[in-house]
Amino acid sequence: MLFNSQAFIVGFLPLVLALYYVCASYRTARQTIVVVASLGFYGWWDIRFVPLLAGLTLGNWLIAQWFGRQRASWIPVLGVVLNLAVLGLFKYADFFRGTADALLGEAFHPWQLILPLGISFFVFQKISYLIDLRRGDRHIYGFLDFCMFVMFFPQLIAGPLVRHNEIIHQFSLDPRRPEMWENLSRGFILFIIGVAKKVALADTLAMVADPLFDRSVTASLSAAEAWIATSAYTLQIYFDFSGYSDMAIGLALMFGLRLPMNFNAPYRAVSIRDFWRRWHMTLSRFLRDYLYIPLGGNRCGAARQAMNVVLTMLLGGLWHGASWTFVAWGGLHGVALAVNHIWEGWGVRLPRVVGWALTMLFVMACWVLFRAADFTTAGDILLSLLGQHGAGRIRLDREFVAALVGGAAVALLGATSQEVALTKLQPRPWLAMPAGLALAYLLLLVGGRLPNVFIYFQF
Amino acid sequence: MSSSISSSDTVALWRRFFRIAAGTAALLATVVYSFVVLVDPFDVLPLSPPAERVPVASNARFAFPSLARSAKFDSAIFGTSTSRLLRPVMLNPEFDARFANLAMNDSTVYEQSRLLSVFAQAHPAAKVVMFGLDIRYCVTGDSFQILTPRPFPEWMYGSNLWRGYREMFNLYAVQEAGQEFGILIGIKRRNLGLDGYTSFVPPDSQYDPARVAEHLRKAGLMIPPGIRQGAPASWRYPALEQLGSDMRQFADGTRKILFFVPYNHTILPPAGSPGAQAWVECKRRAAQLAAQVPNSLAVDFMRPSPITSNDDNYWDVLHYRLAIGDQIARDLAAAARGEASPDYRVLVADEIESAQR
Repeated sequence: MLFNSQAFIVGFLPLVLALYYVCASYRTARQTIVVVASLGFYGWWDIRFVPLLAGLTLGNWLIAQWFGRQRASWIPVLGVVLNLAVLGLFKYADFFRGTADALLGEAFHPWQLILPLGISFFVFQKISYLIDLRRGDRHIYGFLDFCMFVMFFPQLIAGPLVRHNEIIHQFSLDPRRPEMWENLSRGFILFIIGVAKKVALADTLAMVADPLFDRSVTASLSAAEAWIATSAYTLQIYFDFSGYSDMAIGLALMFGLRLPMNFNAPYRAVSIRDFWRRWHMTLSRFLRDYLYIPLGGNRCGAARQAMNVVLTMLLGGLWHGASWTFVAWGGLHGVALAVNHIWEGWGVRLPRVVGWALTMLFVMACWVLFRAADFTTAGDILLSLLGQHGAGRIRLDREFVAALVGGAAVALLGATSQEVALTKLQPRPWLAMPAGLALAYLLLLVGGRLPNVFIYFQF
Repeated sequence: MSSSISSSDTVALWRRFFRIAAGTAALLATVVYSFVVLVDPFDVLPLSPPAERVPVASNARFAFPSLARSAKFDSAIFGTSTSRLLRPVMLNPEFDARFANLAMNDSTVYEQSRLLSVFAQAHPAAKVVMFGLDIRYCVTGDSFQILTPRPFPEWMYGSNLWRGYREMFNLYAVQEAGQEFGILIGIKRRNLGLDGYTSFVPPDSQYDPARVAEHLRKAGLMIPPGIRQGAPASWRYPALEQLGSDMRQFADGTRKILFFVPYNHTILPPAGSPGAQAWVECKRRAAQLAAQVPNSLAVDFMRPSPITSNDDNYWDVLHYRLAIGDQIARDLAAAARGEASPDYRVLVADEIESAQR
């Protein structure tokens, strides 16, 4: 079930919220409702995914219990290996096999295992807990707390990557505490903003970006097409992902729980380091704390630090998807971060506008690699951006242009969605009514757009 | 976000805010949804109030299932835009029937087949059914195109129309409900015919031969796509196989007429070329089909003829002028009566086979 689906907004969410608040005074009851609802939410995609999620959750909880009794440092390591093995099997088995077959010159016959949704997120979440235990964290949680931490449906599929010590202590808070209505309201508004980002902006931009990227596989794009495709995708991926994060954070707040921030206007970054402090912040934090710092971080020489950051980002790229283009995307960002470190070490400072422009150009060029079907296609699009395949022309409809211009304005100017919903929002009735109207309109949009008037007769 | 205990005033303000926001969304959604299901713009919902609804949907895939189920008709035309310009009012007296034109612009064979099944279920002993065959029926290989980028409401073509209540909350349904409501209360004009016929070409007064000539000059040859290896007899025409099953849904007494639509001569591949061979074999298979299915006839308008050879008969390479549509309607009736005409020929598999040799 998608957050931006009518079934979720009109059916699932009101029902689960109502049950949760009816049972709010009984911690076990309200947590059981959330866990059962989360399993239902997950099983809605594909019931075959549920045993894996439930089994992995139980397995990790048992490992934590075992560690709580034995305090042997190898026990969490065993858990980490188990989690990585599951991730490797379901997400990367075909990738590594295909790579090996290609190197050996043999035909590739994929196993085609089903990829459980959100596996990269919930596996990393468990790994972070186990590593924290090994590092001396003393928190051994009850089964229901652990289940709710891992399965809580707002963050189950695509984060934010919440840490146990950020959320589990909140489970004891009575949802009907005095801030309840404020939490419901702010969460509701942030959720609506997230739906708008996804449905009105990201999906509209995708209607132009997707066909252009699809076409780039078989034919070279003109410069105009390549710039439109790249700009549209740059905004699409941001509004898609940050919209999802807004929905997740807003939903959690409606249950009285606060999730960490995941995006902070990343396209306003003035350097690549700045970008990664603002983009998918909970993943950056994970990579920093559980990969970069254990590798030595910046506590070693410049060359080793550069290697650490590149290696961290290569693995970060691989986390995004089982493809060498993702690995290369991560690697490029790693190199850029290393160069940025060296640059800053020399004390060089670019004017902010120049820094912003260079950062955006680099990020956009890397998105081409991230989105393109393969290296050849990505290279061809990059050449198109440089005008190698002619300037060309492209006709755009008004809806797309509005999404592109409006989206760029939202990404670059004004308050962020979280500032609007969580800080600036005041409980004024004249704000509440447009918010309700907006949700009703978005619900209609989610149900189906007006088809473009497609002129196929040219009389 | 405030982390301190809120005052009771603040709590009340936030409570009111949430109630207004959620209440507005719920109220508006309920009002809009109720409006759409009461108007029932596609005339398919089981519990919609009685009204003289008319087809309104700009996408015929939404408008035609209700026409296909309607008892007002006993005959129908299926096809793409190349059959859309046949007027039921011309066909009705010729065949003493009540035709609906259910040809859908740019429809795939799958979409036509689904619509035909709806019509066949409602009219198993239909009087006449006509199938306008074009390039989509002559694709070779193992499969044919299922859908186009245009939305296809599969649920409308199934037996469980209650599912429609889940499909009525979207911008398209709202737009069409507004359109239908406007027509019902008399403030809007119909833009689709009650029998499905609607002219999509400009009025004849706007006919511009120079512009048409420009269109015709730019057009390439129309060659059926697909894999073709070995002798023509070994090629597969999956769409015609589907058509065969579709035709058998009707009673033996139903008159079934297949006709190859009259493409302009400029896009027909030269005789003897590989492209022409694909068409010839397709026509032979259609003729075979007509011979196998009771009470069937295959007619070929896609050939050099007074219709296809005269560029003044066309708006573009596929779409003829309205008067030609009426001429084809008369020709179809003449063919059904066994009469000959330079406009068409009745396809006979053996004759095509011997010509191929």
